[in-house]
Amino acid sequence: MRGAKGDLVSTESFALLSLPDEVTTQIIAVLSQIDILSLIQVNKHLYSLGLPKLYHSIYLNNSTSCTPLAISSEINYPFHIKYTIINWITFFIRQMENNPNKNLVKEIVTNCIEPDDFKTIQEMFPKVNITIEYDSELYRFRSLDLSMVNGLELTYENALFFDENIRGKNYYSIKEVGINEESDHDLFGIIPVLKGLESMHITSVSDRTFTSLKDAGVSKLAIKRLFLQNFITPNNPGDLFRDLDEYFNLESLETFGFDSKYDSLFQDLQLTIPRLSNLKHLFLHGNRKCCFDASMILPRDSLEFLCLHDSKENGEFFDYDSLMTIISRQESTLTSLCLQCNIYHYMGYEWVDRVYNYLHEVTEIDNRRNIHLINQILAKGTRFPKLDTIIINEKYYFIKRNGPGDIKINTI
Amino acid sequence: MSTPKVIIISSDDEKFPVEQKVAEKSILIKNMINDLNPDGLEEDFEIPTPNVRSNVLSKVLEWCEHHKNTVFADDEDEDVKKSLPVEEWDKNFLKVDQEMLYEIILAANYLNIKPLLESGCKMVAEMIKGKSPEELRRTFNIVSDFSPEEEAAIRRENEWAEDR
Repeated sequence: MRGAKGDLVSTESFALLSLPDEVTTQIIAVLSQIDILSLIQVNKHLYSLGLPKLYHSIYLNNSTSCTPLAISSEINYPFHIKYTIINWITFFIRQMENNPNKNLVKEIVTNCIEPDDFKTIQEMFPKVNITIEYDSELYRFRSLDLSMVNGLELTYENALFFDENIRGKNYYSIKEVGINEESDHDLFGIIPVLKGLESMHITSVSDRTFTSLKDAGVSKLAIKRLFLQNFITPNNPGDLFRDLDEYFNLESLETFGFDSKYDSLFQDLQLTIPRLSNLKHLFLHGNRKCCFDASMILPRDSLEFLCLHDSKENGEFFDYDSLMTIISRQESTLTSLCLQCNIYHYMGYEWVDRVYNYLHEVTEIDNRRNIHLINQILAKGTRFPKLDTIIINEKYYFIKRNGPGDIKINTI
Repeated sequence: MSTPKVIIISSDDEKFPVEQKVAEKSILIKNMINDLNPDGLEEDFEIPTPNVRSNVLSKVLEWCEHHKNTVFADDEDEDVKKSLPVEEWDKNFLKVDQEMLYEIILAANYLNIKPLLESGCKMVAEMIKGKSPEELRRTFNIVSDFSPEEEAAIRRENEWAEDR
């Protein structure tokens, strides 16, 4: 197995080129696009092995114009490894026109794409499996095979368009729905029909939203991901929390996020949180006390991802001691920690950063401060054995462990 | 009578008697045992592994012994599995010199021990991550066989996939 190429390899360095191709392909399979781009430029052999992976599965990410819920179904998914992510669709189309390798493309996933671009891509890749991950304006597609759609926002037009096309069918392809303030509650009846539903993102939560869900027959819905944002209620939003288990099967939720900016919420959370027995990802937005208290009732060592967004009090960032108290409870399971970032940044992956270009510039001083904080949190690598991504102020810090007490912090 | 053992013989003729359960972490060996002993093992069973040297074989069997009771997830979640970090024990186990890592990967591939092969591959992937083409050439001691024109063409053709 160490053929003629063996002589290129010295004994000190790993004999990458002498591995059988099927093994090298397996190594390439766990690399993300940036690393594959590097690898294919090394030599001809690696080019021929790496190119198919680069082209195989393409994610056309247009979510600047679309709610990023589209991506939430990927929270547990090796999204950045499986897909080559393209943020500039026009450029992709232009470059593919005369690309001799475009037959290597086997799968395309997109979100909130312009119908014209979608048509172009369909024509350009007639044999490729194309999926719309999420769309806020689905109705713009005059004719569309709805089994190609994974998620949609229940706006009036979308829901109507969808309803007309699905009557009498169970749509397994739909994994996500978004409900916003413009959603027509009469169309919630669609929800129980969606047998493959996994995520819901409700961006305007009111008493009426829940009443309508109930009227539509939504009961103990077993979904994996739920986001509740912007409580529009004259009363204590906690009232809504108390009844949450009527609508959703709390035991099935792996990902839960909510606006926690109301002081009064806590006592109601106390009832809800312990019932989230399979929770792995928690997104808290707002009120510091509420974030803290909610985190303290979580079972120990259950969370993989914790996001404390905007958890300020009197303009002060979550203090270090409270932070450590919370996260120490999740010491052995935590892989990603998101501090003072937008609730949408729930992936913990670098590309999300590019989707939201905030004006806030992280200065060199901020950066040094952040690295100092990370070193503190990790006790220079002796604590939090699985924690490898920390997001502070829109900046991603990736932690690589070289051994006990020896960490390297890379940042983008 | 004691339980029959599986005796694995390395390329340099060293014999490693192990429990059947341990040996069967290798699908190659498992199939061989089942094919040749459809009614189960009645006596010790010798299997030569002419591709694997004794120091590598002993390392691989150490892994099999450690994982003899580990239940590995089946293949349906292939994609998810790719994203998981290398398990802590495997990571420490594979902190060996480059030559040994290389030999373990080859042995795991030959003996068909998927979880060990996967861990090995991820360790190599870690060496690749975050490096430029030039750094990769240095790390793996590779000489480029592209002409400057070819290199430029590759960059041009794949510009669509670049980070922006």
